[in-house]
Amino acid sequence: MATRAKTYPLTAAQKLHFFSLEHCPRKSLSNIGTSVTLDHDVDWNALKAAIYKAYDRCESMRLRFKKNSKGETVQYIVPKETRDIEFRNFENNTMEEAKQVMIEWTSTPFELYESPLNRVVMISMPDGYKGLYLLVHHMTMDAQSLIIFFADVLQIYCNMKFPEAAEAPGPLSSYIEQLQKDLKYEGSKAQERDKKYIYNLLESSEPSYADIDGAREMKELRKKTNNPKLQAMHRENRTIEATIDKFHLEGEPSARLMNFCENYRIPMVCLLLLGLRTYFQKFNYIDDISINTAIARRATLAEKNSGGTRIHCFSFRTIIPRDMTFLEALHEIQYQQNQLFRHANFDPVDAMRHRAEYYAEKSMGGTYEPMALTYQPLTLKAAKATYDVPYKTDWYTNGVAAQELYLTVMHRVDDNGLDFNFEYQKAHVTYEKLEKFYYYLCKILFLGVQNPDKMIGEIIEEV
Amino acid sequence: MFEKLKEIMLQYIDVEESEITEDSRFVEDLGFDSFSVMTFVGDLEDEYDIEIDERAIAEVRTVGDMIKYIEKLQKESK
Repeated sequence: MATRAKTYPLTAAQKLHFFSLEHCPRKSLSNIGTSVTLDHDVDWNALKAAIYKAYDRCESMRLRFKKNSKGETVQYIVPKETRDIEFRNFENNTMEEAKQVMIEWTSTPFELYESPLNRVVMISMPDGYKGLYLLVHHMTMDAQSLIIFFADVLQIYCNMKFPEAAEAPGPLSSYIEQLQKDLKYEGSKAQERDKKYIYNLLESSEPSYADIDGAREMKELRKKTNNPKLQAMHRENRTIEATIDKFHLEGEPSARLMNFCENYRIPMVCLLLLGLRTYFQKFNYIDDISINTAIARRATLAEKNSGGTRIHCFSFRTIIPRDMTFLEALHEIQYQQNQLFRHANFDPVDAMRHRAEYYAEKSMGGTYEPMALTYQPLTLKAAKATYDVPYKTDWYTNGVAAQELYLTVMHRVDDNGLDFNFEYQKAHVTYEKLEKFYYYLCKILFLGVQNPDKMIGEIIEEV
Repeated sequence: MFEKLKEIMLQYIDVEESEITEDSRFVEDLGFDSFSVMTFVGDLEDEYDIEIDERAIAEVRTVGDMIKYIEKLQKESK
């Protein structure tokens, strides 16, 4: 049945992951593993029925890939999920053992073609919490889709068990409709306009690499290559083994950051970007800092509820002189981000290729970004799925990372504090380096929000 | 214009139409995020054949502000 289903080309967002996979020896790179467990005595049969119903409602959870007659990778939807839903009892294990098993699941690659690209396991944890582990391939789902799917399962479950207290969830939007909209962009006037903007931006001048360790490695590379003008970083034989470490910012200081953003009408992601880039500015002695930023591209309600993967990742370059105030710098970042948002449908792989080709001679194929940032504001609580039942979420490493450092900032459930999830390549970044990085990041952010008229240079000197 | 704006806004936000007034603030009252605001701005440019400046849009806080801003741009283009 699957081979007769209507097929569609990959979207630009999917091509971004496909491109990364093609260049990565470890195919678990695109795996996202996460769990949600509740302090609730789960009715497993009802939960299983809720999961099947959620599969029925979410097209992108039934997404498959295959190669067409031209050898191109295309996608299609299967009409029904028929696999059994697994159950794993961790009650007699330690939390660490349970975590290790889920890391192992997350590190196991999917078969990309004509095979399911997700795995749902009902789990009973050692701490008494019960719920779900969910593994998805990033070409089919992103973090927001995952949260929406979890929320859907929980709402369906609650409606089954407590119909008087919990309404059935509303309809989800069609993944295929959004996919078709994305595909229509190809060759459109909008694409031409976005291409012009992005290419102009990239061609304006060559960016500079800045490192978590400061300028030392770049200096050494310039010497080694006898190229004093080199601005891109190369690391030979770099291993991509990765892990995740999480830093918690308590509720009260997190609230201070959020209140600042609300008072000054600055998006949290802009504040985070300024904090991060100021760290690199301080330790690399340059004002020109580039960080990869992930844009979720979910503006309309239909986009928010359609599942799938929609993230476009672009280099976000900021040139902030030291005599600019913290608030002026935030407004500058906000302005630049708003501009990028308006062109964010452009194919990020095309942008990467164009920059690589444009600076090929100068960069020698190197990179300019030391890290990537994602800010994820949506929680299950915000999706109103948990009905005040205490719950926990966790993310598991897939064992590899395409980038040296990938920071995802999310809101914690219990106190709305911020969790800083760092996924990093172990060959280059260590926990100790992250501690220093996080320490300075917080110092910069809090000094800045307390003194928004302070100059960036003063903040750099004082922290 | 208010009615048309509401119609477009309802593609972005999950609120009752009656809850949207000219005093509604995009972010605080209607739940727009920064990406939604910029996509919405793109829709308005297409609808009214205008060009909205990203710096100026930072000063637009309410639905009423947006109407005034669009009217100003329309007048300027005549």
